[in-house]
Amino acid sequence: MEYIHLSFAAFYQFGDAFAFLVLSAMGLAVIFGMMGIINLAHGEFIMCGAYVTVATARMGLPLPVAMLCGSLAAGVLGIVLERTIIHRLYHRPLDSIVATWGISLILTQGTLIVLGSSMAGISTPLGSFSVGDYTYSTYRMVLLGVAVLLLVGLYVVFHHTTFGIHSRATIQAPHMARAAGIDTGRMYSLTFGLGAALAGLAGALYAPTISIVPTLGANFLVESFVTVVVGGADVFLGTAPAAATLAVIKAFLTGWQGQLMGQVGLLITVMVVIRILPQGLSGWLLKGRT
Amino acid sequence: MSISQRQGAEAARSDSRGSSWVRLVNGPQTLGRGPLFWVGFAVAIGAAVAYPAFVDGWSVGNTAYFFCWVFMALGLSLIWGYTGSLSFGQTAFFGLAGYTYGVVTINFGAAYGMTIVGLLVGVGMSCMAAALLGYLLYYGRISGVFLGIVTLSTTLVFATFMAQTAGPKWAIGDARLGGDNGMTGMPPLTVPWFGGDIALYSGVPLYYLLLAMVVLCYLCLRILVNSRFGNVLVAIRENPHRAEMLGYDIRRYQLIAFVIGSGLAGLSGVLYTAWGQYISPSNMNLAAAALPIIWVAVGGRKDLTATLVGTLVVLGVFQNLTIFGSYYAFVIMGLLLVIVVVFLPKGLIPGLVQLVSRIRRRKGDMS
Amino acid sequence: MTILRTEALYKHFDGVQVAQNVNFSMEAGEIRCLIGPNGAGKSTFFKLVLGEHQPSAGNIFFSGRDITQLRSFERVKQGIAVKFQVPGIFSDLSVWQNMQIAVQSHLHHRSMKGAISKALAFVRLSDKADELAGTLSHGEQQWLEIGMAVSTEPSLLLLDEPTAGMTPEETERTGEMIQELNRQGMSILAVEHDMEFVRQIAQKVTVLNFGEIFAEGTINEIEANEEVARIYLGTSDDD
Repeated sequence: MEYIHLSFAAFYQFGDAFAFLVLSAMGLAVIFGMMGIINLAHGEFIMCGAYVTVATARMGLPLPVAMLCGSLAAGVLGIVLERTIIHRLYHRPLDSIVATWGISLILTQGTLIVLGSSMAGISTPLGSFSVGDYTYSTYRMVLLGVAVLLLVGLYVVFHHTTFGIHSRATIQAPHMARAAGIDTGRMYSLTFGLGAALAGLAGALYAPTISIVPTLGANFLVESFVTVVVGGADVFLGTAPAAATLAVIKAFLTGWQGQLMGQVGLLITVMVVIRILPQGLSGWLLKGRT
Repeated sequence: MSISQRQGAEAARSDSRGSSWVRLVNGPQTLGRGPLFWVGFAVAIGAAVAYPAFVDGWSVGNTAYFFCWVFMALGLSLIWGYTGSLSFGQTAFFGLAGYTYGVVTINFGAAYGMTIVGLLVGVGMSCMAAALLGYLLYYGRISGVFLGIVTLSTTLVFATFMAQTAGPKWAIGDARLGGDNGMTGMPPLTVPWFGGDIALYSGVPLYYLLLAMVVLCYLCLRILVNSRFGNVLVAIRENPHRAEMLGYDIRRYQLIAFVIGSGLAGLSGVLYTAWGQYISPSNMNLAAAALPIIWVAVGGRKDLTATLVGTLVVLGVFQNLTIFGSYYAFVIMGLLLVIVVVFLPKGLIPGLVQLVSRIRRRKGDMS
Repeated sequence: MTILRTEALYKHFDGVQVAQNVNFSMEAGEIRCLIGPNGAGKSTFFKLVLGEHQPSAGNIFFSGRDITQLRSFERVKQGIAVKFQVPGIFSDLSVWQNMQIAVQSHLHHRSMKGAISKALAFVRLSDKADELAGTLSHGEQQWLEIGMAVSTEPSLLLLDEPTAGMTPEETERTGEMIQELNRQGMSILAVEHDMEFVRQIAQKVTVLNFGEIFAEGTINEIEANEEVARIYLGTSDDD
């Protein structure tokens, strides 16, 4: 019995870390994998999602609806920024990163000006359950479920819908895609918007568990960066295994030495992984196939 | 081919003539060349030397404060502008050296030139940390975007680490790390002197010391980037594959540039800490890490002079904006960065130089 | 003396054999051309020699020394130089600076200027020294890169399709350059498609097919070889 309790505790820790890594990295991974851009304003899309969720929930919308609003708002913001700024920089990927950093500054500090240094939050829903001597947050388990569903959902979207197929065609061979009548500009906008909406969703989902401040996005950055770097360019093959690997390390180190050691462990893992697998996990997995 | 480029190429050719020092200071990898530039340079130094005689004490101290930052900017220009490595984490080395200076001087005091030791140990720590990180990155073949992400992540984790060091438990000797509130109480730079040490509180002596250091650092870096070593750095930026196939171990060059640039960031960190007798995690966070990127990108990262001038100008603008609140200043900085990156990717000063030479050429065509 | 020799060299990518039991050998002072249909493994062979790929099995010897474990830049220092198919020059730097970066790898200041001028004269770019390399014509960029490669004073020069995209005059001039370098004692290994050009320069030709050495001989022998003609026509011997 004791054994089962301990295994559940370990599973819970792992699941919590896995969900956090997947959810915080997903938006970044879609934009990086599809467009080759590392979006340093990623944290601000997360922030946007969290703010809109909290604001609409406090206005009386049911929490799931409020979360959808948060995600959508971030998606719209993403599309607007893509149309006004990012699309000018597709031929200069390194510059586009620097530009997104500028956007990040504007959004964080602008929010500070408009909305002040913090906002009243909302409480974590769904209460708790206990296994053995320990109690666990039900909501954290729901997040794990959402993360898994999202991985599956994205796979379906990119492999079995017209949008997904057009989008992948645009990424792999823009000239061919254009020749085939695909509006590539629109595909880039939508992909960037999707990435932003996914980041917004991460913010929305974690909004009940964190304090609502304009710099909250920074708390997700390190985890999302390392997941994407370890995962490599292929979102589907990379993100899930990378998140799973990193979750084990993070859960172990966090449980043992606290949150910070978890992050330090992630950083060291990233450097080791890149040393061994320069193309990331997805590059390595792809290589294994013929 | 524009006039400035032609001048550049001519300078490159005259490069192999002339005495070596002049040749190196005045070589092809730096925009400002020729008699006119050096006259301007002398005038600028003259003005900077005379400056304290014409303004109040606050302005002198404030300009000294600006000078503190210049080293980090010049170092980033070397790493990013000349070598082409995206290092987003220079503030980690800034912070590390600042804290190290604090730890050394709080524990050992300011007498017997201990602050100078603190400075050297601080800079040394940055260099060592950069050597370790740089070795892992460059020899691990991390490049391009990933280099930027990993360096930035390292900085953020370091800032997070320092932010949770509140309480008496986190102290090195007598020096409390201080968590979010940062570390205070370290002495200013103090020069041992006959008949009593001279403490360089922010004032005229400190101003002159920093001015001299800025000029020296600028000239040394000019020599470095125009040397054989600098040629290889630029070659790596332009085409790393070709550079390797000419027989250069590019990882070694990238690593050395990274260590030098990060050492300069450390120098900035020590000088800043000594100037304000204060260092905190907020000097390293995401917004702080963006500032050096902005100075260097706005001025023109591929040129030391453009970086130097751009940094001082942007610092001045930033400070004037903070009168309206630091949030506004950061928003404007963000906007400036986006606009420069989109419309003037080479930076404002090279853009201006290009414009002037275009106008001159047009005039030349008419006459 | 044998300048370059490979011993049972294998390389496979994702299960595809791109080099199979390649036992290649060329003498010092030789001009050798490497030909073969697309995908025959010519570029892979170059990359193996240059250390850009590690072989799955086998060894590479340069001037009698096993260089299999050496990194690319170390091989260059040993005396191998390369001109890539797509010109690999420093576009934003002047032609002079391009050459300087190549020359400085082994010369001291005193002799540098003369060496740069000489190298530029050799590739006929003396009057373009001040221009940006990126503004040169395609053929001139190829020459600049040959000049840069030669400036490292290699004993073996690898040329990957040196005349691709050149006008007939430029091609002819390139052939003269190669022969001039050879007269000075440099060994040359070139991948080339243009059989005219191969005839102009090559002393011996090696044919690669499916990662294997298929035939070797003088240009006349190779052109008379029906098997070689067949692989070029795309009908391989298994049908």
